[in-house]
Amino acid sequence: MNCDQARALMHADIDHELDPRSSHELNAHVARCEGCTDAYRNLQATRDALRDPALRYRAPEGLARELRMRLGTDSSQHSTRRWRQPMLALAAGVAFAAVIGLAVILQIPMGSRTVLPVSEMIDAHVHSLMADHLTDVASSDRHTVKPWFNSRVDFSPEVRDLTTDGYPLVGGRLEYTRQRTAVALVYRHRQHIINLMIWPETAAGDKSRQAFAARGYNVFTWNSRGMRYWAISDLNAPELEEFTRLVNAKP
Amino acid sequence: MGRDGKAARFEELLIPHLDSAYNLARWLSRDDHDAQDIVQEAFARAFRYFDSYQPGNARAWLLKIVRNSYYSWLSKRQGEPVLTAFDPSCEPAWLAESADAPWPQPPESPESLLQKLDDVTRVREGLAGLADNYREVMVLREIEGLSYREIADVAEIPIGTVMSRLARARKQLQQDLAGHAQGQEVCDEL
Repeated sequence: MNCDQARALMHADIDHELDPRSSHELNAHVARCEGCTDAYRNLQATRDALRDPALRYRAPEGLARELRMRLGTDSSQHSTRRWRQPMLALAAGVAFAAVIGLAVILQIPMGSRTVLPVSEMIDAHVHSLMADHLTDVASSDRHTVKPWFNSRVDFSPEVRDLTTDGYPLVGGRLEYTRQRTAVALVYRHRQHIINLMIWPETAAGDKSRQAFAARGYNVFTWNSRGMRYWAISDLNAPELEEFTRLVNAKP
Repeated sequence: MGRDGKAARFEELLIPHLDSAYNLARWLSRDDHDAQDIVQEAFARAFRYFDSYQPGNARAWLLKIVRNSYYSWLSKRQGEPVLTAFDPSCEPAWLAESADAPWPQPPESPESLLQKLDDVTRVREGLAGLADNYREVMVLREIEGLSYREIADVAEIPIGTVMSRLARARKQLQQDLAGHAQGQEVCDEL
């Protein structure tokens, strides 16, 4: 085990999430490495400091009582304010089913140029789901889909076959976005449609990988090997992230 | 089952976790009054979803709802979908096209870090100063004591991301406490 590995694993170790064998190896390394010993001790001290009971907030006295009133289980006072409506009015169109999983909306760093594109990408995704808008070339065979783009766009996107991983190809279409023609590859995972938008982006472009959740959809974007990618789906974030890993795995 | 039965079952199952719910809401919103509003909203939603609750981990189930209620509340408050800072997530190795980022050096004067750690006010400030996605995993792990699996469920991230985000959050906290004013770390290997 080297220091890089040790520094990564010591977090899991102090959280008791490391398997015994790795933990043993880690401790053997730490014992003979001064830098890692210091790092480990600092970590323990940080963790211990965060155990201070003063850092744990307790619910104010009246809160439990007020909740019970709304539930109607507080017999000391009859309350007419039952939970028929949410206390904070939700904007129209926010589906409750979406709330649990997808109410998180992530910030775009100041000065980023990605604010509008997220909304645009979602619009494009939604539009594609309407009848006859999903694919220009419908085929699960990448040897059919990839050449179809040859005469229609001036770049050659990689088209992966991810069928055995559970993400079969559905087809492709041209997508007009950000003042240029892009490639949209359509994949499916169970009943969820994934749109993968691809266009050339030079090395000088913004390389940041970002993820967003908005309007009931998950969106990932990244730059790799000269291309900008956007993946949009109503598929849950972990499985969509898995898809992005597969797309970007070294061939 | 009648409504009263449901309410009674709900109360018995979830009121014991009120402190956890409030603690998370308070750390996320950083305000007492807002935290109470968020907890009220979370319990209202939890009650509405209670029929779909599968017996298991009531606290994690509730904390997930609290977390989502916080982000809904934040979104409404700011009016636009511009919210918390997102960790650009350097974890997936396949994205590291440049050289591996070196591990940050431990703070130069360990004594000063340990001194700062002794001062709970500074620790509280340090934790409160972290970006939302760092702060939430820290609170769930260090204060609520959730396992990585539970954190992954509540925060809706893969378990591998839980570990690496905790690692970054802890480093950030240590750097902030030791007085290295570097601002929020941004993954610059991308």
